[in-house]
Amino acid sequence: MRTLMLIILISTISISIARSQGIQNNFFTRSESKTYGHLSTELDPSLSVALGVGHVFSIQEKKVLTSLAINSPLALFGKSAGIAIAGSTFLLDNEWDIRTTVDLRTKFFSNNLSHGSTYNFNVTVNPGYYQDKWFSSLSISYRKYLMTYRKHTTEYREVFPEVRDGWYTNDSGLIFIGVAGGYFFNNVELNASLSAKLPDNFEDYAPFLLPVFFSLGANFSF
Amino acid sequence: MKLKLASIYVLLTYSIVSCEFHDPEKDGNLVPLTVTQDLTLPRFETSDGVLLHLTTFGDPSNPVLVVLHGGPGAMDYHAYDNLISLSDQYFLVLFDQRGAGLSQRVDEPDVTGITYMQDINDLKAQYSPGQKINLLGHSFGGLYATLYTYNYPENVNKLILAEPMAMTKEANEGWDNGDDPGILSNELNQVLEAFEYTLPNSHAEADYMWAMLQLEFGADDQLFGNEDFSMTNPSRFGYFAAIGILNWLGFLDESYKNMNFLDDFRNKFQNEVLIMAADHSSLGYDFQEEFHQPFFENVEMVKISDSGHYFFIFKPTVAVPIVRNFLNE
Repeated sequence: MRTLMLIILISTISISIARSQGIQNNFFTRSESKTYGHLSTELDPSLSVALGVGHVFSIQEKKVLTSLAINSPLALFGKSAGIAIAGSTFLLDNEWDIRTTVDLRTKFFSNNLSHGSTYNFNVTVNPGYYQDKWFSSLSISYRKYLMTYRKHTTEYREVFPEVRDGWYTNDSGLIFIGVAGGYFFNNVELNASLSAKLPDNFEDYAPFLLPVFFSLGANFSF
Repeated sequence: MKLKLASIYVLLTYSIVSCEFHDPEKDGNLVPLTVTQDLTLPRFETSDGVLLHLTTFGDPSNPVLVVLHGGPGAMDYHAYDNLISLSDQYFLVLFDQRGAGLSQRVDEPDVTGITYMQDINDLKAQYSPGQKINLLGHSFGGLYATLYTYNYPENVNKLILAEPMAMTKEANEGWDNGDDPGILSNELNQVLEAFEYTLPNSHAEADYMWAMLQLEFGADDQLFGNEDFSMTNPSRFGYFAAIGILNWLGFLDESYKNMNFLDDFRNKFQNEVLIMAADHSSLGYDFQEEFHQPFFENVEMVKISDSGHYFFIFKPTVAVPIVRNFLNE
């Protein structure tokens, strides 16, 4: 029951949005700090930067990191941005541990076809070896796109005047499989992750779907 | 507190449930209906059962002129409506290629040079049995017309090539189609971002994303001059039409495996060929003269001055009489 409550709590905290692959903060259980700042760059799917804040709560004697991050592709400032709220915790509290993260993310976009927003849900597990000063883990993640709101541009209406604006269902899903690692010194954590990215139906969408995800990030504890 | 949370939860759930969600895979939402669903559209059924959106103009007893639109998958026959004025002397056949415009969608294996050529054979059997046809191909349609003529020279009377796209490896390498988009280009990043949340799991989604690609990357000043690019857009873009035929040609992987038809063309076809080309186009007169003209035996070249790639739309008073005069000679 406690576990179920914990899962519901994390999911509830995560009811929102994001664009970064979840804040890669892996030392919050090994530090007394409650508040973190986050800065990262990532390729997901375009080259982006993300800023975030995180706060650690103790729930049922378990530390849960909640985080809020904003993100924008470097080339699309003012045209695309994302927000994410995530919840993360460790399952075992051992050196060999499994970090789990769930988050909901939204991305606001504006392109030649339409303006709107898209929403996705992410579950990530990082089973690995977590020492006081460093960690290395596998990184397995599933991203399910939930829905997309589209308001079409005049340019596209010249192609198809009867195009329908509004909410669209979305059956896209992505699987990420890779590795992550990090180092903790003073009040700073540096981390990196690299994953192969493939659609959940295993169709080949190359070259339009980059098959790689990476992130480089830093967390600062206050 | 609990009551507040419950109220928020109920409101949130209600607002999501009460939204009307459209299906992106259903034709008519993001992209128009094709000839398969819209029974009011004029059509032609090919020998393998594919429905082409097709219209004819003029007296069926006149010589036949079949028009092959550009693209692939990025234009339709309406870009050539100005050619309808030729229907006083010729029986004009305008159609959307399979998988393109409002013609039936077919999967990539059914969009090849073989099926495309068979479609012309079917049209000839219907509209010009026992008689040769005249072929006019613009841009990709120029390559298509040349490919067909090479394989079926006995079926073609006169061949008109309006700025055909690169038809050889050398031509493609020599084609100045603008700079490659950089990793931080707006176009590339827009496409990467949009593709991830619209993975093309259906023809409708694929065509929608192909529209995005064309609208983001299409307005190449070198190719289109000062022309209004939006006027060249088709009723519906065709992703698999483009990917299928470009893969078959070996264009995408640069193997050019089925692009050797020009090497021996002059020995196969000695009838008259007209190459029309503009002066403000990267596929224009100089390009055609350098890379394509040498492969034809009996060729005439005409320059369309002060024009870009789409002279049938923007310079019809110049371009259409050139076609008429050539056919009448």
